[in-house]
Amino acid sequence: MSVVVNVENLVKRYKELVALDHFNLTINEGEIFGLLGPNGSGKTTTINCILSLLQYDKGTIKVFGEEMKPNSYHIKNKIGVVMQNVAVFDTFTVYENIDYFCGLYIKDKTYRKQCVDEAIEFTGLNEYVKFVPKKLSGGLLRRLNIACGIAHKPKLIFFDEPTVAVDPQSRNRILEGIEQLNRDGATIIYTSHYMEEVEQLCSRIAIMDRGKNVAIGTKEELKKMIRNTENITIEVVGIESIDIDKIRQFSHVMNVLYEKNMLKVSYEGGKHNLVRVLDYLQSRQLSFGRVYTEMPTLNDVFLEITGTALRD
Amino acid sequence: MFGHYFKYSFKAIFRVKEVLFWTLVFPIALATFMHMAFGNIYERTEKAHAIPVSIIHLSENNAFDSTVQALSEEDAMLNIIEADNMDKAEKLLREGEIKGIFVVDKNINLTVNENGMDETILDMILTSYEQYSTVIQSTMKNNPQNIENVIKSLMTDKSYLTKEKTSDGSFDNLVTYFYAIFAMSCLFAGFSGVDRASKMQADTTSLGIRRNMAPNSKIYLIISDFFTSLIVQFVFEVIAFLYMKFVLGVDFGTKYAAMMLVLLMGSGIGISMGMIVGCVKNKTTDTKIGITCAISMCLSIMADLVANGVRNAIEHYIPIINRINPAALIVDSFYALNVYDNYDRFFRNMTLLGIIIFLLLFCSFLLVRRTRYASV
Ligand SMILES: Nc1ncnc2c1ncn2[C@@H]1O[C@H](COP(=O)(O)OP(=O)(O)O)[C@@H](O)[C@H]1O
Ligand SMILES: [Mg+2]
Repeated sequence: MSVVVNVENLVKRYKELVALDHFNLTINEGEIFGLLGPNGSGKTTTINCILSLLQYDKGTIKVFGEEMKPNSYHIKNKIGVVMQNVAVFDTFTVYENIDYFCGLYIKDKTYRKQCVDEAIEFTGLNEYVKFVPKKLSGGLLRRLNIACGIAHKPKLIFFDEPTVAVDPQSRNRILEGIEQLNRDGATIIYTSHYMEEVEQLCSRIAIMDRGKNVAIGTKEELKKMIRNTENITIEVVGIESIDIDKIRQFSHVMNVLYEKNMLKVSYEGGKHNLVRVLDYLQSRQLSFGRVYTEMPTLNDVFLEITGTALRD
Repeated sequence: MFGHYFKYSFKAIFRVKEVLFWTLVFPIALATFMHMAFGNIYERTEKAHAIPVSIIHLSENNAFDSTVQALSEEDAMLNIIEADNMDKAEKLLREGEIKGIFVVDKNINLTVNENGMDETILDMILTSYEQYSTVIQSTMKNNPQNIENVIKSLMTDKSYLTKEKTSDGSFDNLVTYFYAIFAMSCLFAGFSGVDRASKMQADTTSLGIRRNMAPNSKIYLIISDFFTSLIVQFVFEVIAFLYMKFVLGVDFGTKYAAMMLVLLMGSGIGISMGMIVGCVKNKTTDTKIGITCAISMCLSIMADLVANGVRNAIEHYIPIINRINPAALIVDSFYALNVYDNYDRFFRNMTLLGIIIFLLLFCSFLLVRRTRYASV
């Protein structure tokens, strides 16, 4: 398994703001690698540095084993990008846009036509080939943006928050498409601030916070890094602070929160935790409504490592 | 590869409405407006007028006298105002009663006060007279038997000169306004230059980001965008030219091929100027549009769009500016075509424009090649 992207000690400042602080990253061939972090944590900055679009202050970046430079055309040839903002010509039709960008990579006309048609098929834009971007809905526009980035069949594809402001249908289609591209042999780098997406899609994940890579691994590995094993949420009215303190003293309880009539108890280890809490509430004659119990999510990983929730 | 770039570069430019406005509608509208505002004056001044001039004799020169005589008859190119001595003549000159003084001595000297169309004609008359007199003298010395033919041919030349003024040359000042409109609309092609360069830049457009990821040198973008813009711009200029000539009836003379070359080079300079502004990093597109607008306005003012005489004043004090101000070069090229018989000044201007275009494009390329941006 060879290393496709290697970033070491990357430092990027925007004036005083340190956007990337000694950031490290290794991505292997065949992975769908997720960069997960809240808005402003430096995901886009990381990608732009890797792509040699941004000046950076320190660090080394290698792509396909070679130093990445603005004129590393043989490397760029194997890269596809789908950026956060839609990047297409307003005045070109869907077909022309895809053909234009594909033609920057593929010179042979017959092969190019085949690639463009496949990209149209892949993103389901068949009915819209003659449309100009203005006439497309948000979801379709995102799909066009993707088609422009992948038509030339790149080996390494960057997706920067491709599902922001996309309807759920298009979103699922996009995620399935990315999995398909990966099955067809492309290495994927995917950024998002939606943990569910990253959890569903990515084989390995780096969690970013304020320009740092705070944790890296598969989702199982990440969850093992934290103490939290179970989260119980119970809808209950009129619980008092002595009760909360009581519950806090149960064995294995890490943390108890009570907001808007929802009691949230997080555990590290232990068995039959839910039963014990419900028994206690009954003994105090407190009536309760809905009850959930969940395994820890990446949000809990983020919360435990950084002390703040992923979604503010 | 170039083919692909060119094809889409064309498609891209043809569908941008703003470009169409600035480069086609604007010059036509401005020319129409000028025509309506100054139409009457234009009619009046279009007729040739005799240039008032005084002649001071410090020694005899029959040949010159008869030349002047010939020029003040018939089509009346000159209007000789009597002046007894140099002091009186200079007073007339200062008061604007006459445009120049010929002082006839061993050599003939021309004194003028300003630097305008009339003064240029006087200078031209003197220059051609000097050329002829050398021819006559050398013929007298070497083949006296041929002198009659030489004088005949010179006379035809002279009548050509006279004729050019009334039917071919466009010596009125108003036509220079129309030249300035061309200069200005050529410079406004800068907007399409900025637009195109912005779309190459990762820090101004997301399109630029994607294009920066292309596995090809930016020279493809610069060259294809420049030449396609040039062709489109040139076609627009020609349409504006035809409109001014046939609809408004502006008399541009007859050297059409050369005038087309001016329009081509002018379009080139406008686009390349816009491109280099657009290729500057870390400025927003709006700022770049503003800069281009300011530059075009300044250059156009210096080339006499707003008031006649600025260009001549510059020629007098800092001539180098007129050699590098593209707008002045464009106006001056038209002017040179209509005033001068030979193409020296015209080709000098074309060469200067060519050099400036090349330098601007080359520097644009240097600005965008192998670049990383401070912020994206
Ligand atoms: N062009 C810029 N100029 C100044 N600061 C910037 C610029 N781009 C991003 N930043 C800052 O850098 C940090 C990281 O931004 P970004 O990489 O866009 O985060 P993300 O993609 O994770 O949302 C943020 O604090 C952001 O405000
Ligand atoms: Mg981002």
